[in-house]
Amino acid sequence: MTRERVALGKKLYFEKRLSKDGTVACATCHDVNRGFTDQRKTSEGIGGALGQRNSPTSMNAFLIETQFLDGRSPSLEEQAKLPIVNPIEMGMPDQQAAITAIEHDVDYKDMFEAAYGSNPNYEDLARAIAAFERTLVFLDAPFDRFLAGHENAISAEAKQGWALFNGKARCMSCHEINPSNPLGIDSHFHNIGVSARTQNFENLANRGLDMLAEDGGMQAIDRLALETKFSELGRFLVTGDHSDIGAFKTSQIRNIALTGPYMHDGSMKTLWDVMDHYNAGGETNPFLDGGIVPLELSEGEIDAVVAFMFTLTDRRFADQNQTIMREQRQLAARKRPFRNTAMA
Amino acid sequence: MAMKRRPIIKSVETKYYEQRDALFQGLQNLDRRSFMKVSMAAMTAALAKGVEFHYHNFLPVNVVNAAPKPSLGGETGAAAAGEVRAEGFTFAYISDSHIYERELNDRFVRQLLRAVDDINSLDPQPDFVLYGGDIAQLGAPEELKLCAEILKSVKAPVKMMVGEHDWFLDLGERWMDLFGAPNYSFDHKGVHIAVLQSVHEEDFWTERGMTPEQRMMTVAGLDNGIQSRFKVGAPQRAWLQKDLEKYSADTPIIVFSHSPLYHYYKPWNFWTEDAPEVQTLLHHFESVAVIHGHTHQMLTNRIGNIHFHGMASTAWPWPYAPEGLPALTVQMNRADPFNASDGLGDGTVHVSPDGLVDKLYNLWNRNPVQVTSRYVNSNGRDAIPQQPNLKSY
Amino acid sequence: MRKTELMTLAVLAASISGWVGVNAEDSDSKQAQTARTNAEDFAAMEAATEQGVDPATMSQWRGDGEEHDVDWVAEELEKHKVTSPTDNAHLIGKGQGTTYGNVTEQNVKTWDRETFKEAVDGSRVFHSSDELGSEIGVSCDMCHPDGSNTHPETYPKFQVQLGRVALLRDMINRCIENPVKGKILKPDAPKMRALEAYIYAQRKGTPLSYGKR
Repeated sequence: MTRERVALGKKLYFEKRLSKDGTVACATCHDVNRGFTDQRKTSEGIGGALGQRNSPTSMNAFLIETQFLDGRSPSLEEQAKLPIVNPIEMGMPDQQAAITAIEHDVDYKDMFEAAYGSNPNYEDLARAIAAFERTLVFLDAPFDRFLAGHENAISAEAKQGWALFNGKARCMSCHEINPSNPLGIDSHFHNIGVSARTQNFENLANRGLDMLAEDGGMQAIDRLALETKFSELGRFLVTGDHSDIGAFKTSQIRNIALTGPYMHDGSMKTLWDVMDHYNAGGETNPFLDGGIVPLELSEGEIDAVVAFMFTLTDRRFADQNQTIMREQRQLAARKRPFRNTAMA
Repeated sequence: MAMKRRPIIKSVETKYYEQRDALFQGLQNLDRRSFMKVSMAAMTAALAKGVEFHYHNFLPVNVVNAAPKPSLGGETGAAAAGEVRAEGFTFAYISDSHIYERELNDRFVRQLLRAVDDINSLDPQPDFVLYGGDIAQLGAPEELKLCAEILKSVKAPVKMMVGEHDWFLDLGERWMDLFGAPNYSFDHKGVHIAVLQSVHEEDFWTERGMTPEQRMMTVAGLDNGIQSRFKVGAPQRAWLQKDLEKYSADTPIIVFSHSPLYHYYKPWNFWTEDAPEVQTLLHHFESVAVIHGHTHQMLTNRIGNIHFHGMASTAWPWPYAPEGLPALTVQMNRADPFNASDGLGDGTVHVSPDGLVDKLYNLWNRNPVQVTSRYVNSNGRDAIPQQPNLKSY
Repeated sequence: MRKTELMTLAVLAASISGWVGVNAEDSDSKQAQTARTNAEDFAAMEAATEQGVDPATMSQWRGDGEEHDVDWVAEELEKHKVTSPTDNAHLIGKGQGTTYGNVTEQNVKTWDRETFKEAVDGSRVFHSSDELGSEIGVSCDMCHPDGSNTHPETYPKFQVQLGRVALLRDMINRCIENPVKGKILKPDAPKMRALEAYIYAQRKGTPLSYGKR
């Protein structure tokens, strides 16, 4: 990582010419002003095409072992390569087209030369974007101040939420937060029963396998994951493991206030909805992770955990955090579609 | 489709592509229908062994031996073996649910319901579903009633078997009311199936003046030393002998019993006292398989010509006993205490027309494991099921 | 005040040897006799003594917390095997002459008996969903018959779900809270100590391997 590479990566991150019709850049779906995601249910690519999955945030992504919700990319570099050539994201017909779009730009020629001592090429393009992403560190939240010893950095309710996070609410089982691993992730994939009731997993799995048998390359998986119903198979598309059906990567909960709507399909609008989902024990399906059980949290306890989650937003986004907290609270007060009253 | 043996030096890229190809070849056989089909030829470990196990590149692949699909090479496994056979049949099983009343403990109920869902969603449906015993935890009338209701929602016909947890509160009165005779037999597609009550015990309660509840609590403790060892008992053995008389030695026989019909670990009643006598009754048959519950773990054994397969539980897993574990067992690694459904599940058994039994463990949150008759017949040399790569208990 | 001191000694000695009476060390027998017959004084002395003693230890002395029948040990052992503590008989007669540090038969008997009793008490709690306060009728032995698969020799180890490096008692509490759904125990509670004793007893002889998963 050098200054030149990061600068190049930053420029590329915002470069709309890397898309077929010149309207979409990385920053479109991983927008600096919208939590480095797009705060939409599922993302929209060129020509208004909607995908199947919610956009993960690029904040702190460098600390995550695999990229994409199904972990199909082993690194940031590999991840950067795929959306550019995905038909419904940035839509370039192939890697060369992306380079062609920018290689005549003098600025890029200079920057590539300075950064990698070569002409614009796809490999270095991906490396530069990854270099820029590695600067996206957002780990300075009120919660961190609290952990450092400032007792008043977070509210009493949030402290109760933190205790529940570790205890009755069982969040810590998958969303690990500890000095060695501060993001709230566990490098695993879990089927937590989101939108699971409507899936016929067996059928999907069989047909998915058929499709993969014909073409099992990375790009094929990429397309299946974003364009088709097979998206619901999650990690299974990558590993073919029976136990991975419907499993998605545990997402980080840092800055979670800014990265709604939630879950792999963006089906949950507020953090209260998320809590309701877990409280009910997810949606039963044959592949439900055994760690998901009904929690029997009370309303107050749910509020506490949500309060805690709002303290995980980096202080640089404090204003946005407040606004979103208000909005979500209002929304949650009106409607709680995932609530199972018997449980709460 | 076995991988060709290449010269020793391979580039990383070549290896990567070979692995990927192998992965996706193997994937084709993951579908349920393939699980069900059995074929002697297909059992060639080509599939099991031909798919490599590379943790960092591609994670564990399929663990199932299955016939390649007809579209692939143009021949089914059976045809490839040069034999024309009638189809065998498949039955599913659920076992050891240990239900309490719902208000008391809904976790075991939910887990049983999950197993019922699994079985109901099988396509094609199995011929029948064996319930392996210990459906109730304390044999209470409310528990048994709840269990009967839940089982009504199973689509395929259910064959019940009794376990000690169902029996010892009232010595089976309520259970027999709801489910009928504790031992019986029936024929199915050329196979003779005998269902035993293998958990009788010598009376230990009268001299101690125990109430029925105390008797039940004693038996309910796996490691409780006061209870006697399980037995089939002389009267039932006599019944079995008479029942088997009508069948020629080449009739495939399957026996369902709750406790394993051999001596595994006495202190935990993983044991049937008169198992040797029962085995004697079965030895002259060419093909015998015993499917049993009680042990809540993957368990495989072979004594003479008898294959023994243990069923998984839906309630909780048990560790392997400190001694006596049959060598053929594909050991499951120990359950994650933070995952309430780890080490549990249900499954199916495919029976070939010859009576050869292949058992599929459908373990929740884990890859399925199939233990085939070929594996057992070869004493563990061939068709080795893919083992978990973590140590067991 | 000599009387107090003597009575304190006497009460302590009495607790330890399991019977209440005046011991041979009391030189001022007349005074001791007077003190002994005065019930109020006696109770006050006991109270004064107790203030200095750790409550968990005190409760162990009293065999506290639950009503045990005299035969509870035998009853428990009839049902469940508990591993005996390591044999110390070979130490009898060793040590410095007959002074402090010397090992007598009574010492060995006391050590064995009390240690074993604690493990047996643990077995009692381990096997009882009522003792564990389980709301769903689950007891430890359901997943851990004879205390198997408990692996106490692998603690301390970092347990992500507990958010810290766990000791055996933390894991016990976690199990009590989740699969057993009972009331979690204070780390120093008599039941927790007994459970630990039983679990360690059943794994006697296994090498320590802290951090092992």
